[in-house]
Amino acid sequence: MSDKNSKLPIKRFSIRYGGSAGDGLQSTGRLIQKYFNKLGYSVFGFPGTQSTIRGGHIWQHIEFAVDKIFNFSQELDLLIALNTDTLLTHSKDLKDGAILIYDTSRVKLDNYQELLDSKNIKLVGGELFRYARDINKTSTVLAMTISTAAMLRLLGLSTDEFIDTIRKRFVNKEKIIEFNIQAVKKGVEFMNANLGTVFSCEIPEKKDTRDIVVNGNEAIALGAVASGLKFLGQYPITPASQIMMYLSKHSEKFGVVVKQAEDEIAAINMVIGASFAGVRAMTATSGPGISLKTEAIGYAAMTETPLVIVNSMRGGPSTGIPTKMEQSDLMSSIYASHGESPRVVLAPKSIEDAYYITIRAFNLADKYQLPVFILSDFGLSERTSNVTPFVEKKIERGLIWTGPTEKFPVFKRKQITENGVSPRAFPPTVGGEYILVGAEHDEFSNSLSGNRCGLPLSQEIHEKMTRKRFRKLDYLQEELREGEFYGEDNADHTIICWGSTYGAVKEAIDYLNTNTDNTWNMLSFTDIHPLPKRTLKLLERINHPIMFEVNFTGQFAGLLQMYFKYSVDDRIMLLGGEAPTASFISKEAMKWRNK
Amino acid sequence: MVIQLNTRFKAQGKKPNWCPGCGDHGLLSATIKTVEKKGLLPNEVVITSGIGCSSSFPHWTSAYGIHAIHGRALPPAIGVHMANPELTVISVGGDGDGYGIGGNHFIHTARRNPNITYMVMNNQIYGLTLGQASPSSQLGHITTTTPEGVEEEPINPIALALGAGATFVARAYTRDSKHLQMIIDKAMDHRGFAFVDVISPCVTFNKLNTYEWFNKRVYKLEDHDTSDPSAAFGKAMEWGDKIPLGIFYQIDRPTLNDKNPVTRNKIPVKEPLGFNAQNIDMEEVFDEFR
Repeated sequence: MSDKNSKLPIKRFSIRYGGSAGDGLQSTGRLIQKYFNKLGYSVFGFPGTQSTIRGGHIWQHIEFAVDKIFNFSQELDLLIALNTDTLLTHSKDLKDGAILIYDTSRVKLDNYQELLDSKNIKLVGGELFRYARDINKTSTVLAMTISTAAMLRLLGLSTDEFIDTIRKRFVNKEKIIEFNIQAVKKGVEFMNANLGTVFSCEIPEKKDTRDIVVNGNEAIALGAVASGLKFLGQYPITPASQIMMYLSKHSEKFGVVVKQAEDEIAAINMVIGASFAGVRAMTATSGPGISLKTEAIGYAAMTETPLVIVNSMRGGPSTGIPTKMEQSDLMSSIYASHGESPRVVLAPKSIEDAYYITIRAFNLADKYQLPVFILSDFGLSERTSNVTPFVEKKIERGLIWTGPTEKFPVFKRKQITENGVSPRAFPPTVGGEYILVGAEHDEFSNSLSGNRCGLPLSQEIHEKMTRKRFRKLDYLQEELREGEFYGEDNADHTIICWGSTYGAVKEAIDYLNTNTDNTWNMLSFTDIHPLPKRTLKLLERINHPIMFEVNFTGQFAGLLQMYFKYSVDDRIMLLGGEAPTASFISKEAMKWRNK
Repeated sequence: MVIQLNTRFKAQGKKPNWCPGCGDHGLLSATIKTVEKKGLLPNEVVITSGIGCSSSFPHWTSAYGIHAIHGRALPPAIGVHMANPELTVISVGGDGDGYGIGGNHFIHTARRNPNITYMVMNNQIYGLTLGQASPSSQLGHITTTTPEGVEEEPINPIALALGAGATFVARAYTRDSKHLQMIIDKAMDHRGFAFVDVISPCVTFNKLNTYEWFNKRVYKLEDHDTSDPSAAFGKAMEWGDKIPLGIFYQIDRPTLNDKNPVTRNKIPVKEPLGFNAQNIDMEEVFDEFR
């Protein structure tokens, strides 16, 4: 056991649990994050899941620090292995001198001994699952509690608040609480018999925090309720299901009708109906669901029906890698559906942003009467972090007609206006009766399909209406947010990124500016389509652009080329399905430093 | 400026583009007569439809309407119905739209039991695309896509609706307007999903299942216990020399909105927006995350 003076001071610490599905990694993972949140640390969690119900290999990353964490680290200070696959997957990421806690009956070190020795890994082995069974025969989840308590002992942190967190989680379940308290005790004893307390954690200044530990999906769901969501139509799909699950749980309290539809097509068409009837409505899905919804997306654009569509991207195409991350649906979000149809695409950069962008998405959908995409991804939807409690923002419902006015004495649902936006009326508004129709139509929403289709008048109307619908994008290009620089001014190299990779790139920029002789900055985008014209001015400030996006074809790079004839030749891509980390990005970026 | 309240459901200045003699004219006029007789106003009614000849139906009325994409008459109807349960929602379409491309929605809407009336103008052919076989086309029927005759069993919409859990299942015939109006009236009075298979002959592309063909075969259900599912299934299997018209089955079951945690108490479209406006304590909401 180390004495007090020799303890290693730490400001930031990264932990990874590896085990099988069913071991309770994700649920216990959230508890531990709540615990660190309570102590005032910044915390960041990320799951490594598989499409499996039980078994297989899954992992949970947890990291805490005194300063704000923007992304999880690749390198690990502590690895807790509940199966041998944990070593296969994560031992390469162990820092020199890191600690490995493992279950001696389930984990075979043989093939990894050499690597562990070369990295001077401190081994702490024990029969974690047997200790768990000794407390409660039927629950292996307690092995997580035991290893967590052992970790807290290692860190010299109190277990009292951890027990408080467990009590709160299992309120009125006395037996479960009792088992967990025994497990905590066992974990502490176990570590005392091994390394004892090795570290000395810097105490955060923040105390009695009101911060909340949420994931990206929950942030979107909360943002939707704050926006006045009344109808969610959704079909289960990873990694977007949590939105429906969270809102279902609180449906009555939040006043949000949650309809699990028979398929993706029904889900979006229900939402179109709800929006037509006057409520704020949303659907959420992932890439395969978007593929099924495309016809309805075009219909919403054609009928100018406000709609918020969450696409939590995963690896594609087809079933792809369903529980992993990719930013490969950017172009399909802009173009999905036949014909030409305007829409807005927003890609939140963080959990906080996911909440606030959702509010903007609803306001933009109503103001411009078109579909608005929230482009999340596995890396954002499933990450957890502690954030300042969200606040409500102004709700703008756009141009609604409730009766004759001077400007709109007669209701014409598709009245041609300067900015392309026409008044909407909801049933049972008298005088507002109209037919929503996907066929081209006149200002009164009278269909041109059928007998009027071939007449010269129809050609004229189709042209006018197409221009009207697309005029909204001109105004949106003024209204949407341009990219944001971070890092050194006039830097030698600029990493361009969009959406959820913001945190990883930001940490990479800090690293590169500290550890290389070059200067670096980043230009990150959240408002993807239509890109504001002002963007070109930002791009002109870049000396050497490097594009980082998690896809193969360089979709955002392609967009910059298309909009501004701006070429980015040097690219960093990531295709393995894991979310990016600062060390990966810095390593890749350094390959371009002499350019 | 005041807008005159419109009480008439017939669209002004617009005439259906259906062929003269098409059965769909019959359902349109029977529906207009029935809703007017019931004292409903066009602004309180939403008619949804999919794609096909018959799905242009909403345009020939003065009510609110959603002329949706192919096969999707029912999902937007559910969206409207749950967002504002006070509105009267009617869905219409054809056999291709409802039994083919939209078949999944038909099944699941039936088991959900929303308070919606769904009337399918069944002409056993694709008319708008010029005469291809439909899911309800008769076995052996020679069409533009089945030169050797239809080789698949036609769908049985009545049995399908019963099996899926519809709480009101009926068949009517556009030639018998009085009976049709009676069925529409009862379907609209029914609390729950009311499905009507409406025989609506196509005079242009279906030279097999003509008015003459039906006139010889249709008869009205009498002495039939509409609360007995076995009797309903039995009658549902009758199609050929004799084709029963009338209500096959009707039962009371809580509706979609009766059971939904929001719509059982509230009218979503009339509720205030956001946490604070709904008197929801955000701190309490956040407590789950601490």
